[in-house]
Amino acid sequence: MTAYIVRRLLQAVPLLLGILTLVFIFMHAAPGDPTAMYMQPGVAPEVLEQMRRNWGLDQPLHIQYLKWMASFVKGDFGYSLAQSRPVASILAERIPNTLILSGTALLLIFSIGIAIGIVQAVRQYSALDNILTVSALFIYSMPSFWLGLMLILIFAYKVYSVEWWPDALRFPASGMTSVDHDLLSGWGKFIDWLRHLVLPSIALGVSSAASVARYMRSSMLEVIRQDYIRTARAKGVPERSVILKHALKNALLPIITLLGLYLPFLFSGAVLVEYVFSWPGMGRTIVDAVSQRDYPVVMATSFIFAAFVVIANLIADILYAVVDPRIRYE
Amino acid sequence: MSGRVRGYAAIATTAFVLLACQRAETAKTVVIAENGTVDLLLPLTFRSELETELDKLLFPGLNSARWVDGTIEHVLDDLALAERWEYGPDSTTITYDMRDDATWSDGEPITAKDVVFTYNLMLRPETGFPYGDYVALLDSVEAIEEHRVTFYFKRHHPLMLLQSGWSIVPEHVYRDHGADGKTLAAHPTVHAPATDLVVSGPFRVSEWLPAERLVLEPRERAYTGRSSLDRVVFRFVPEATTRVVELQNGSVDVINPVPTSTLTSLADDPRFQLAARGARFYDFIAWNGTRFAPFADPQVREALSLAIDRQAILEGLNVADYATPAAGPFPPIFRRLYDTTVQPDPYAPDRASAILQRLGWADNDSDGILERGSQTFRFTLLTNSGSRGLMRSAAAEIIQAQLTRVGIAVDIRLLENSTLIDYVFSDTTRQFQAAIVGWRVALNPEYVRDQFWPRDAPYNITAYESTATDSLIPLALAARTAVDAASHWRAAARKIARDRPYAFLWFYDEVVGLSNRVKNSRIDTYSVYQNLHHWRVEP
Amino acid sequence: MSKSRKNTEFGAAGRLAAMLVPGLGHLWRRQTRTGVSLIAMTAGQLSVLFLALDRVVATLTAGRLDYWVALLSLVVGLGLTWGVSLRSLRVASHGPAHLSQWAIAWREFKRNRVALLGLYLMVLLVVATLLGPYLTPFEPSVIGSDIAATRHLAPSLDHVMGTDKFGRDVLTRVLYGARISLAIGFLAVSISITLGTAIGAASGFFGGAVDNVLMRLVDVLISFPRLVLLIVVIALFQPSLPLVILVLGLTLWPSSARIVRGEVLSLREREFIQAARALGLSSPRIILRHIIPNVLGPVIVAATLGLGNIILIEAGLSFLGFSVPLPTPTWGNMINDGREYLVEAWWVATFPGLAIVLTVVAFNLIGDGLRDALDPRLRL
Repeated sequence: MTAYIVRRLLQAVPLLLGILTLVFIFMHAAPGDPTAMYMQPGVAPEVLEQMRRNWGLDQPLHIQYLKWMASFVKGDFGYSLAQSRPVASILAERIPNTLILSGTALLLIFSIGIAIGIVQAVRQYSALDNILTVSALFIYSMPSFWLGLMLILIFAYKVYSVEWWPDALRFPASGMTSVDHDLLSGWGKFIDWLRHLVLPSIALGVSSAASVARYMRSSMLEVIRQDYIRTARAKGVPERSVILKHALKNALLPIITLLGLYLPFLFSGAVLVEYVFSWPGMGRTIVDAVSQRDYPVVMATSFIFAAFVVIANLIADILYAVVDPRIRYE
Repeated sequence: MSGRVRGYAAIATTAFVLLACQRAETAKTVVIAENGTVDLLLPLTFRSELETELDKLLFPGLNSARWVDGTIEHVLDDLALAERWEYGPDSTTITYDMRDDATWSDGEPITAKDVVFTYNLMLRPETGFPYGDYVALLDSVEAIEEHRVTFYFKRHHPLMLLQSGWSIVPEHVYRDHGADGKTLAAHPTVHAPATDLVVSGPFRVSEWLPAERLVLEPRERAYTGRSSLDRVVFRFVPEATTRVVELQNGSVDVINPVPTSTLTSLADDPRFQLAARGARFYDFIAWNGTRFAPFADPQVREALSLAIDRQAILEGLNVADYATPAAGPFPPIFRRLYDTTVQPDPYAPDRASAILQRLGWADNDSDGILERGSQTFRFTLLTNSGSRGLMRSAAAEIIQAQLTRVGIAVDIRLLENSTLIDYVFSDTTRQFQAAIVGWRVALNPEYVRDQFWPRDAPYNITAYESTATDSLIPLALAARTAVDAASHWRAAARKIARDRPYAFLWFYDEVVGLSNRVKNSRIDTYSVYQNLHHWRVEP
Repeated sequence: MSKSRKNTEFGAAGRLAAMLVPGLGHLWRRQTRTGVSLIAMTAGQLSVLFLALDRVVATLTAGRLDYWVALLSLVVGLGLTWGVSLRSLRVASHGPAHLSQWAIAWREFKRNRVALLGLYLMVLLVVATLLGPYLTPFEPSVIGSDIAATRHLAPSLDHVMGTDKFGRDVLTRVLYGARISLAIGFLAVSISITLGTAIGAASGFFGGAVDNVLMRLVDVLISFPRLVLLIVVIALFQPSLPLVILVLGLTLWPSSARIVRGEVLSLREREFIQAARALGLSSPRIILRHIIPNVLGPVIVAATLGLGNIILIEAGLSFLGFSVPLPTPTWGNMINDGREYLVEAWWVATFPGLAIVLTVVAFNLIGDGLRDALDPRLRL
C-alpha cells in the first residue's frame, strides 16, 4: 500500500510541473503587468520601471521561469508583488479558510445527499420520492453563484424586514466571522463561525448534494434487491436495521469514489462562491491575483489547487481499497 | 414513530436556540465596510486610498491638511505633531515647533530626529519612495532642537506645507531596517497582524486579518486624547451589493463607497445619511488620432462631443445628484482653477451631424453608418469591467446608443483593469482607438497637470500637441504662489477645453453611506476618516 | 395501437382534414397525447405568426438577419409539424416496420415521460430563441432615450420579467441571451466531443506510449479546477465569443476522452474488431467504421450532459467578467449586471438564473433519458 501511495505521488510530479509550466506561460503571455496597480499621475514611469527591475521582470522569460522553478523546488514560493510579503504567509492564511468552506460543503454534500438518497430508495415511487427527485434535479442545475445571490437576497436581506422571522435564521451576508467575534465566549465564537458558514456552504454544496442523492438512490435500490437483504428481511430483522445496517454499508461503496470527482468541482465552485460571499479563501486570492498580475501568487495558488486535487484523488482511491477488499493496489 | 419525530424536533430546537446565541456588546464599535484593502502599514511605500487614510490616523504628520472652500489648507489641529510653524527669511525654509507631549505607542517620545529620519528615507533613492515629485524640491531636513525641525527647499513654491506634512515613522523601530525599501517593507510589524506596530496617532492596530478586516482600538495615552470609540472595524468587502445589504440589515455602520446603483434608495431611507465627497473622480474618452485617423481632426472631436448627451447619461445612470458634466480638466470644486466661462458641450446632435456632413461624412449606402471615401465611421471603444468600472461600462453602452443616432458605429470592448491600463497607458505604442478612462482628481493639481498635456508627458495618451499649453504649464509650475499659478492654469485649461483631446465626460462624487448612529464625522473631498478619533456612536 | 381505429374508418373528408390539420388524424385515432401536442404546436406557431404579423411583414423590408431567421424557422417549424404528423400517420397505418438500433432507442426514449418533458422543454427553448424577434416587441440591446422613466420597472404585463438598468426588457434579453448561451453550449460541446472521441479512441485503440502520453495530458487537464484554468487562459486573450467557445471546447474534452477510451478498451478485444484486423483493414478505417459507431451512445449521453455543464461554466465565467463582452446579453453577464441591483431590482438577476436552471434541467433530463434508452443493459 505504501509503495502504491509513493508511486502515485511520484507520478503526480510531472503532472504538477506540467500545470505550473502552462500557468507560467499563460500568465506571462497575457497583456498587462503587475505595475499597473501602482500607475497613477504623480508616480513617474521611471519608478515603475525600477519596480519591474526589482521584481526581475526585465529578464528573459526562460530565466524568470528557471529562477522561479529553482526557488519553488526549495520550497520557496517567493514574494507577493501586490502585498509585498511572502506568498507562503498568504497561503497559510487562505488555505485553511478554503478548506473550512469546502470541508463543510463536503460534509453537507455527503450527509444530506446520502440521507435523501436513502429516503428516496426506501420510498421508491412515492410522492416524496418524486418530489425529491424533481427538486434535486432543479438544485443540481443551479449555478452556485446565482444560488448564492438568491440566498443573500432572501436570508441576509429580505428576512431582516420580516418581523416574525426568527433571528436564528437571519444570516450574515459575508465574511467568516462577525466583527465582535473576539469578544464572544468560546461557544459563542463557534456558533458565530457556523452562522457565517451556513449560506456559502449551502451555495457551494447543495448542487453536488443533489447529485449524490441521485447516485445514492440508485445504489441503494440496487442493494435492496440483493438476496441477502431479502434474507435479512425474511429472518424478521426490523426494516430500519435492514436499511441502516445491512444495506447502507454496501450502498455507500460506489458513493465514496464520488469524493475524488467532487473535489475539483468544489474548488472551482469555491472561486465563485468566495467571490459572492467575500470569503477570504484561495478562490478569491487567485481571481484577485490574476487581475493584479501578481505572478508568484497565481503560480502558488495554482499549485495548491492542483495538489489538492491530486491528493483528493489519491484519498478516494485508497478509501476505495479500504472499503472494498476485492481491490488491491500494488 | 412519534418518539422519533419528537427526537428530531428536540434536535432542531436545540440547534435553533444555539444558533440564536446572544450577540456581544457592540455599543461603542463602529463597523466600516470598505471596498479597498490594506496590504502594508508603512507610509513610505505605495499607498492605496484606504492606506493613505489610515496613515493619517496611525502616523500623523507635522501639519494636517484640510479641504477648505475649494483648496487644500494646512492647519495645526489636535492631530498635527507640530504646534506652530514659521517661514525662514527668504521663504525657502520652514521651521516647525513640535509638541513635546507626544509619544509613540511603545512609550518613546516623538522628536525631531524621527522627522529627519523619515525624510531622509524619502530622499534616499534606495528607499524607492514612489512619490518622487513629493520631495523633488526638498533639499534637506535638519533637527535644530529635540522638538524643533527645519525643512530646506530648493526654491519657494506653493506646496511647501504639503511636502513637509508627510506621515512620520519612528526612527528607533526602523533604524536598522532602512537599508532599502525592500527590507523596510519586510519589517515584521508592518504586516498582519501588526499588533506590535509602533504608531503615533490616536489609534493602534488590535487585529488584522488581511482580506477580511482590520481592527483599530484607541490608545489610552495618545496626545490627541482618548477616542470615545472602543473599536473601529474596517471590513474589506469588495462586493458592492453585500456592502449595501449589510448596511441595511444593521451589521455595518458605514460603507465606502456606496455603489451608484443604490444611491437613490439609500438617500430616501431615513435610517442612513449619505456623505458625498465632491467631484473626487472624473471620466473622459480619449480619442486616439494615431490609430483612428478621423479623431486627429479637432472638428470631428467637437462633433463627437456634441453628440454625447452627458446629462441624460448621468440621469440614466441614476447619479445626476452626484455628478456634473465636465467641460475641461479642472472640476468645479477648485475655486481658483475652475473657469465658469468654459461650459460643457451641450447635447446638439444636429450640430454634430452638420459638422460631420461639412467634413464629407455621409451615409451613402444607407446602412445607418457614415462613410467618407473608403473609410467607415466605426471604432472600438475600450473601457474596464470590474467594480470601479461599473459606471464606465454602463456609460459606454449609452454612449454607443447616442452615437448610433448620428451615424457613428461603436464597438465596445470591456477589458479587465490591468489589461486596459496596459493598452492605454503602459504600452507606448498606444494600440487603442478610443477609451473611456478616468482618474481620481489630485487635490493639488500642480503635481500632475504637467504629466498629461505636454507633448512627451507620460500620460499624454492621445499625442496631444499645443504650443499654448507647452508654454503655459511651465509658467504655472514656476509660479511662487498658488494664486499666481492659477491664471496660467486657467489659460491652459481653456485651450485644452477648446481643442478637446478628450471628450471630458463628468466629475463625480464618491459617496459614503453612514448609519444615523454615527455622529460627528467630517467627510469631505479630502478624506473620509480624517477625524475618526472624534466620531461618536449612539448605542 | 389496439385502441386506434382501423384505417378504413377514415372517410374521405376525415382523411383530408387529418392531412391539413396536423394532429387531427391522431385524435381521430385516439392517440390523444400526440394529437393534442401536434395541434398545440401548430396553434402556437400560427398564433405567433398572427400576433407578430406586423414584424413578419416588416421582415421583408427591414433587412434584418434575426427577422429572417425567425421567419424561416416559423415556416420550417410549421412544415415540420405537418410533415411529422403525416409521416407518423402513414407509418402507424402501415404497422411497425423493421426497427434500427436508433429507432429502438427512440422508442425507449419516448416511453420515458420525464425525458420527453426535457425534450419538449429544449424544443420550446430553441423555438423561442429562434422566434425571439417575433415573440417580443422589444429590442434586446437598444437603449431608449428616456432611461430614467423606463429603468427598473417591476415585472408587469408589459414587461413580464421587468426591465433592467437601461429600461431594456429583461424577457427579450433572456431570449436573446439564450442564443448566445446555447450557441456557446452547442459549439463548445461539438469541439470537445469531437476532440475527446478522437483522442479517446486513438488512446484506447493504440494503447502503449500513445495511450500513456494522451492520458497524462488528460490527467493534467482534469486535475486542475476548470474555472481556474479558464480564468488564466482567458486572461491571456481578449474575451470574445469565438475565444470563449474555443477555450471551453479545448478544455472540456478530457472527460469524454476518458469515457471513449474505456469503451474502446473493451471493444478492442471483441471478435468483430479482431476480424476486421485479420482482414487487414487500416487502423483509421477500423476506428472510424467499427469503433466510433459503437461508442456513439455514451458519447451522445456525455455530450448532452456536458451541454448543461458548459452553460453553467460559461455563466460563471461571464459572472466574473471573463466571457462574452457587453452589450451582447448572455445569461451570465445579465446576472452579473443584476447583481449590482439585487436589492432594488431582484428580477434582473433572478430571471436569467431561472433560465439557466430550466435549460440545464432540460439537458440533464434528456441526457438521463438517452442514457437509459441507449444502454441495452438497462432495458427491461
